[in-house]
Parts: sequence; C-alpha cells; structure tokens
Amino acid sequence: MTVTDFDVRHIHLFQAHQDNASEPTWVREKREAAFRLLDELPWPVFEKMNITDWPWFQFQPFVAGRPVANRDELPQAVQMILKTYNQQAPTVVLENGDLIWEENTAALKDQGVLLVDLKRALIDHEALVQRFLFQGITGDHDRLIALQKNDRLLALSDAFWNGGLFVYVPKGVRVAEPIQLMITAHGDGTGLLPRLIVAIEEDSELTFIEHRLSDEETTTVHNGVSEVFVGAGSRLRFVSVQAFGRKTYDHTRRYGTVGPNARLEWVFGEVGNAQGAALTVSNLVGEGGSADVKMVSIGHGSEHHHFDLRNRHAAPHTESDVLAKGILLGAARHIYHVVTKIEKGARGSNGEQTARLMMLSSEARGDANPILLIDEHDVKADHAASVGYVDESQLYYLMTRGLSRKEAERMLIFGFLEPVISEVPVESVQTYLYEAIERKFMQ
Amino acid sequence: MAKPVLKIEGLHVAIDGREIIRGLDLTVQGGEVHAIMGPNGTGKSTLAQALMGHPRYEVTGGSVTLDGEDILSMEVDERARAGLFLAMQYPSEVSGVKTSDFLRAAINARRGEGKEIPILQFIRKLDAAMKALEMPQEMAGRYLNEGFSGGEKKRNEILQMKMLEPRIAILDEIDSGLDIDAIRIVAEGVNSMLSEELGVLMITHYQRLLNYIRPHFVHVMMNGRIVKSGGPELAERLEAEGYDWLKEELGITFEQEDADTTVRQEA
Repeated sequence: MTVTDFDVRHIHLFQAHQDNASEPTWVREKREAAFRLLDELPWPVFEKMNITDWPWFQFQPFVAGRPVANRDELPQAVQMILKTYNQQAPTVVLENGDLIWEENTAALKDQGVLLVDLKRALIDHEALVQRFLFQGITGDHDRLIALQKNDRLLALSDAFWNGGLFVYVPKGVRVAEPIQLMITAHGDGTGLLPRLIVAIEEDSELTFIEHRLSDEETTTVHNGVSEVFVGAGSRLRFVSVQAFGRKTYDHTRRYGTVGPNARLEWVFGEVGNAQGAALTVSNLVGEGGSADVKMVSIGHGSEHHHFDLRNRHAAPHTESDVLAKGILLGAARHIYHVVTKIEKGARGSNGEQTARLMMLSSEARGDANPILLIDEHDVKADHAASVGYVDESQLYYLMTRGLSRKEAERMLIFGFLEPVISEVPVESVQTYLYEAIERKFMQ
Repeated sequence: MAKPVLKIEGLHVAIDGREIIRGLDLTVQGGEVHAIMGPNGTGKSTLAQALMGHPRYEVTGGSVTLDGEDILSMEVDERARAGLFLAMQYPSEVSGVKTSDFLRAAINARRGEGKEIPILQFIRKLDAAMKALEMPQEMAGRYLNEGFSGGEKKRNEILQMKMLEPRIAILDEIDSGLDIDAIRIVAEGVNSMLSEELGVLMITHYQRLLNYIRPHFVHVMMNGRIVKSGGPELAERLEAEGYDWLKEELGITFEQEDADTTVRQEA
C-alpha cells in the first residue's frame, strides 16, 4: 500500500472538510501541510515488524458520530463496558471522534476542569488548546532509535484527525474520581482518527481512563494520537485499555511531557484483537520528574502487535520505570521495544525497564528488545528482558495436584501477569483486564 | 468407600532411553505405610515420578493400577484426581500464584464442577491444617513456594496433602534438608492422616524419618528393583550396618551412582 493508492475520493473529502469546518486557521494549515507531505514522508519504523502493507489509508474519513439522548441508546458494547466501570465517575463517549454522550461531568465544571469535545474546544478555548495541540510531539534522531519528528502515519493523523477530547485540569485541582473515556467506531471501513489532549497544570492530580473498542466484525482503521502534559509537582495516571475487534488496524501514538517533580503513570491493557503498532514516548523535561509504565498484553490467533515504549530523560534527577509483560497464544507475535535514553546533563537520573513475554504455543513468537542509551556518567540504569515458553516443570507441579493442563496454564498466566495488573490503580480496570485475558485465553 | 489399593506389577521405567526401573512389584493398601530405602541412584525417585506421570519418565513395561483402574493411561492431573498424591523433594516455585488460591483450585478440580468447596469451609480447613503444621497464617497469602526455605516447602507439600486428602500418598524424601523439629512437625502432619482410607509410600534415604513415621513394611531398592522387603527392623539394620552386607548377601554390583540425583534436579 502506498499513498498513491489513496483513493482520489479522499482528496475531495479532505477538501470538502476543509471548506466546511469552522476550524482556526492554524489547524487548517496544519492539516493542509500534512496532507501535502503524505507522499514524501517516510513510514515510522517499528523494529522487526513491517507495518507498511497494512491498510492505513483504506478508510472512510470524517464520518460523524451519532449523538444519543440517553444512555440506553448507546451501542450495546459500550453500555456493557460502562456497566463494569465506576458509575459515579465523569464519563464521556466518543463515536468516530465525536462526543455523543457524557454523564457526571457537571461537578468538574465547578472545579474549572474542562472535558470538552476537541472540535468544540477549538472554538470555545482556542488559545488554551493551541498551547498543547501538536506541541507534545517530539522526534529523536539518535542513530540507534531513529524516531522522526514527523512521519507518514503521524501526518495522516495531522491531516485527517476527526474529533477527540480536550481534558484540562487547572492549577492546584485534584480530581477525585477518575475521568472515563470510551472511544468507539461506527460504520464499516470507518477511519477512527481521534486526537486527545490531557493537560494538567501544576500541583494537580488526575486519573484518566480511556477504553478503546470497535466491533469484532467491522473493518476499522484507528490512528490515534494522544498528547499528555503533566505540570510541575502534578500526578497524572493515564490508563488505556485496547479492546479493538479483530478487523481493526490500530496505530497509536502517545507523547507525554513531564514537568519538574511531576509524575506520569501510564497503564496499558492491550487485551483487544487488533493488529497494531503503538508508540509511547515520555519526555522527562523537568528536574525530578518521573514516568512509570505498566503494560500487559495478550495475543492470540494471528495477531501482530508492536509496542514501542520510550522514556527520555532530558533533565537531572529524573526517573523512569517500565514493567511490561505479555502472553502469546496461537501464532501471535508481539514485539516489546523498550528504549531508555538518558541525555547528557540528566545527572542523577535512574532508568529501569523489565520486559517479559511468555509463549504458550510453538507457533507464537515474541521479541523483547531492551535498549539503554546513556550520554551522562552520573546515572543509574538497568534492564531485564526475557522471552520464553511457559515453564513445563511448573505446569507439571500444578497438574500433580489435579489441575488440568488448561487450568494450570491459566494459573501460570495470571501468576505471571499479577504483579503488573495488581498495580493498576483502578479496581474496575483490574477486573476488566482479568476477564478480558481470561476470555482470550479460553477461546 | 473401599480401601485404596495401588498395585505395581513388573514395572519398567526409562529416562532418555536408559532403563532405570527394571521390573518392580509392589502393592500398597489403605492403612499401610511402606518405606522404600536404598542408596542414591537406585531409582527411588524415578519410581515416584513415574507413578505420578512425569513426562520425562517413560514406562516401558508393566502395569500400575489404583483401585483397579489403569493409571498409566491417565494424564498427570487425572491420576491426581483419582487420588494419587506426590509430595515432591524439589517442589516448583510458582510466582504470582497465591498458595491459598492454588489449594482451592486444586480441591475444586478434585471435587468437580458444581461441587466446589464452600469458601468458609475451605478457610476453616486451611486454618486448621496450617495450625497443625505450625505454619504462620500469612504463608497462605504468599506465592506458591516462592522464597520458601527448604523446610517451609516440605511443610507446604504436607499441607497440600492434608487439604487434598489423597487415597495413595507418595512422599519423596520429605525429610531431606530438615532439622529434627521440622521432621517432627512434618511427620506429625502425615501421622494425623493415617487411616484405612490412605496408603503411604514413603521414599527415604535415611532411617531417621522412620522413627517419626513408623512403616509397616520396609523395602530396599537397588538397581531398579526391590531386592529385599521386611518390617521396621530391616531399616534399623540398614542404619546400623549400611547397605554393603545386603549387596554381598544378594551378590549385587552397584551401578548408576548419579542417575537419580541428576534427573531430580532437572525435574
């Protein structure tokens, strides 16, 4: 698939969108510039996995969501998941990028917290949005981990992004309940290209949960970009559950900017059935900042997924920690590419990473690539990585007590993942992950 | 329920094509405690693992039945559910799996779907068993055998036995690496279970354990066979005089010094 295959219809749709949208000039210009560059820009590199022939350009852009008047009108799948989550928490549902439902959001407004459809926010809070939108994207030109400031899939989002959410927490505000976001797609062949901004100012606190889903039998192309900003002394927990259906292609980018003495905790539950590539970058730009990544993944069938996790220490006394664990069934393939980079001058920093993949089938394939790039002397850094089959002597031991092989495998899988899942800060998400993993394992 | 009967006839077992057990006959019934003794490398642990169904141990001849059922055609877990239990010399450490969760799953696997043990009953049973084995309560919440001392692992094996209530229990060197106090506790744990409903096959290198768990029958294994059987007095003579007199009496040249030890380490 090359850009030249990109249906001419998309050009018309792009132009029509440009003509109709009431977007600020700087946003329109960004779209146009990105659109022009689509042909020229290189593909992003996901080590050891070729994603260039996936149908990233075969989607219907700018398909609107369908607003609902009450919760019962939401798609069944969304309702079912909402029921498993916190019923009191502020909750927003985006369909095809449009905000179609919100509940329990009134109290936030009293605190000055903004939880707004991104397109709406560009009208009502343009100056504020402009401080963040497109500002968190960073490149890194280290010869070992080339990450371009711009590439074809990022430009595709810049040109065709369709809605999203703007979350803003003012200085000194601690949001008590987690903010919950459902991202869902509607329509066969729909392009789901949301942009998400989560910005919390200094001395504030927020737990944000996004749950991304699509229909199992509907073709969906997801290309989502999140930019996250954590102000001085603040703490943001960003929990993301991927529960896309098997006909979804998922390209996910997340960029975190962590200020002085701030803390960003990412939690990723990769339990969906999509083919995908996900890159998460945490830029530690303020002294004393820290980033933490917890990830679990489970792959089965012929799922291929690349997970690229990067922590970049660009200020003194910054810390990062990655703990990622995955299970591979069937002929699934997961790649964990974990990069810890400590820039010159980031003295007293500490970067740690652990990446482990457990395979239960001889056809499954896992790769864990731990990479440490250290340009400063006075630092600590550590990595551990392993890829291996489920331990036969442990299986035997459990089976000698009467557990069937399947049950014994199940115990070992959950035992393997438990140290990660037990760290997930929201109990309802823990429960969801356990159940989703169980379902996939039993299939 | 009828008394359990484990019947081993003409058993041959090979590891990686090498025959370790070469024609072994033994019957263990409910209410009986059998001790199998013998020098290192004579196939004692091989017998234990082969009875349980360890995949590396290939049965090349003979038959084994439990209550008349052919267990050699059963999977490992089926043997366990039929009532066979093996207390291992080197139990696995299983990170992330809590001892209590594992025990409950194992009990329920044995009971079958729809007949799961009520949670309160399980907790009471677990508390009582742990108290009897002088295990601190918090051990039930720890990951299975992870970071347990040698003695704690052995106690945990007996704890599992108490919880699972097997019909035939094979105890593979449950005394190895234990001090006297720990041996006493572990042995009391076993003794408290002895009844017509349980047959015990106890493998040990030392006579010492037999002071705490009194066997009805003592068998000596050499070169993959039982070469002599008797009562507790046989064990006492072995302790006092070693195995040489027996080798001489039977005209046995000893082979395979390390076979058993090596395989156990790997298992």
